[in-house]
Amino acid sequence: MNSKSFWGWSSTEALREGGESGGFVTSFLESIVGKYDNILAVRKTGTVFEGAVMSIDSKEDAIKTQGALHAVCMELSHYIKKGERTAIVLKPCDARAVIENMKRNHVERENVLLIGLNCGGTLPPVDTMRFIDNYFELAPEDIVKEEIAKGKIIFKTTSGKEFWKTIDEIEEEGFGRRENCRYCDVKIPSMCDIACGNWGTPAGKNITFVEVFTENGNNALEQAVREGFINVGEPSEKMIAVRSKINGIMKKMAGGWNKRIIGRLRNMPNEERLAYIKNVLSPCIACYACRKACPVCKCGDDCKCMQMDPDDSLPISIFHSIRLLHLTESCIGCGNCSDVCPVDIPLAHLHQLFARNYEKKTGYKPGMSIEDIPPLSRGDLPEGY
Amino acid sequence: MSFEPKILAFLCNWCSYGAADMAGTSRLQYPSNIRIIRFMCSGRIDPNFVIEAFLRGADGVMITGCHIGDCHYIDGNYKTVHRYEFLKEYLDTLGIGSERLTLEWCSAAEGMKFSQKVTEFTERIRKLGPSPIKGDEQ
Ligand code: SF4
Ligand code: SF4
Ligand code: SF4
Ligand code: FES
Repeated sequence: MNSKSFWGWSSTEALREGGESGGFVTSFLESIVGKYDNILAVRKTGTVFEGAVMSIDSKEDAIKTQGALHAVCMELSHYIKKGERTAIVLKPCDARAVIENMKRNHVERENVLLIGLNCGGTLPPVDTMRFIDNYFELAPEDIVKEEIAKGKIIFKTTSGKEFWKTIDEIEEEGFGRRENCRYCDVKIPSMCDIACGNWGTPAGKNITFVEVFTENGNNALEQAVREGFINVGEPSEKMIAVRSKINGIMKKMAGGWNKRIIGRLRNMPNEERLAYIKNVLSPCIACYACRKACPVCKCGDDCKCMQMDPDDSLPISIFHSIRLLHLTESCIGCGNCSDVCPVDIPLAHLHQLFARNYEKKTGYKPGMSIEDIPPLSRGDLPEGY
Repeated sequence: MSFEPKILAFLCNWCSYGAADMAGTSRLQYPSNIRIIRFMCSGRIDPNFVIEAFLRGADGVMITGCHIGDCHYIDGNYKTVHRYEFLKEYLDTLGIGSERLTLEWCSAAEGMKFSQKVTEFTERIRKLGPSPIKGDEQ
């Protein structure tokens, strides 16, 4: 189907006030309680720098997932189990990982309802706490809300005060969004059933902009409206344009970072790049955490890369060279590998360098649609042979 | 000491190994720089074999198989082609350089072609010099 756009908000006044952008997602979740084996979302725990995955079994559970969390970088695709009907709230990279898992028959498309959230990037929690301490002299527990809006990262405190800096300023100082988020170029998760966000909504109105991509998403939304959980309205042409403009700005920013981070590696002379890759991988202590955290590596513990010692004496370990090979076709740039590496190896930009070069050559971008077959799995004969 | 390239050649059992055999029985000369590993089909060659060859000190890798349409397993060499294109990009990205990898089709009757291609590829690698990823002890 062609995608359809709505403005949506919760029919419950309290949720409309309390939720992010009119409590749309919260009430949408309320509306599907009991209709899936598993409904998954992230909820706050303690501070805004900490979250936990929650399985939603009741309307009360749904309400606990209110509010956005930018400084929590959790990856949810790991929690979807084969054969279970699952509805899940996720950001574009998680959704792309789910799509890759569907291509590999780890998850069935028809069993899953993907509720996507637009994403301008997430913040690494520990660095962000350090940042608010350094620049605003605030403690993590002073922050009740954080927000990324209009090019700024905004922190709200218990006493109702707002502290902010522009994303550019923060990132020039070495803080801000995770590196992979800066060059991430999928900001609206069009591979989901529906995508929700506050881009393209009038200021101060507490509304969510919802784009519906599939019949499944459409049916679920219509049902939520019918059963009185959600109100919808038609967005104005002007606001539809505003949303795509914001998306454009975010993508342009991502393009700039892509040049700075991936382009820098791409433009190195061959020998220099090879030396960089060798050196950057050399502190590896062979913990396999990067492999375990990767949402698109789902071969399990029997996978051949797990039989290889990341600490062999080769110039680049077989473990890492297999991972570089396999992820060239499937890395969706979620940054988990870099996040978990105990010796801070910037793995994500290595994998993205390979994946983006391959994408340039073949036009194949992982995680965008289950219809896109990875070139290595195609049975056809490429042109020129 | 002058540089003698180490080249690993992956040959499929049905055509290209036959071609190498033919080159031998016809007493055609080609450089002794290549070390041959036989596979049942070029479609069995995992990209990782190629990378491992480089990691373990090869200066160049040659993949050979049956001509398109002649693969003993019908379309095994279609897979070879996708992997070859993939590997070229990979080797360029890694910094080893795609020119250190080649793909040639040789039928069992093409002993001459086989010996020529080995000679050409060996000269190409000789000009390129040792592989940049080689460890000091390799
Ligand atoms: S990688 Fe992209 S989708 Fe994932 S958190 Fe970062 S910006 Fe969002
Ligand atoms: S390699 Fe790293 S960035 Fe790429 S999908 Fe896996 S964990 Fe995410
Ligand atoms: S997480 Fe880091 S240290 Fe652990 S295996 Fe991966 S690269 Fe090596
Ligand atoms: S058998 Fe020779 S390429 Fe498949």
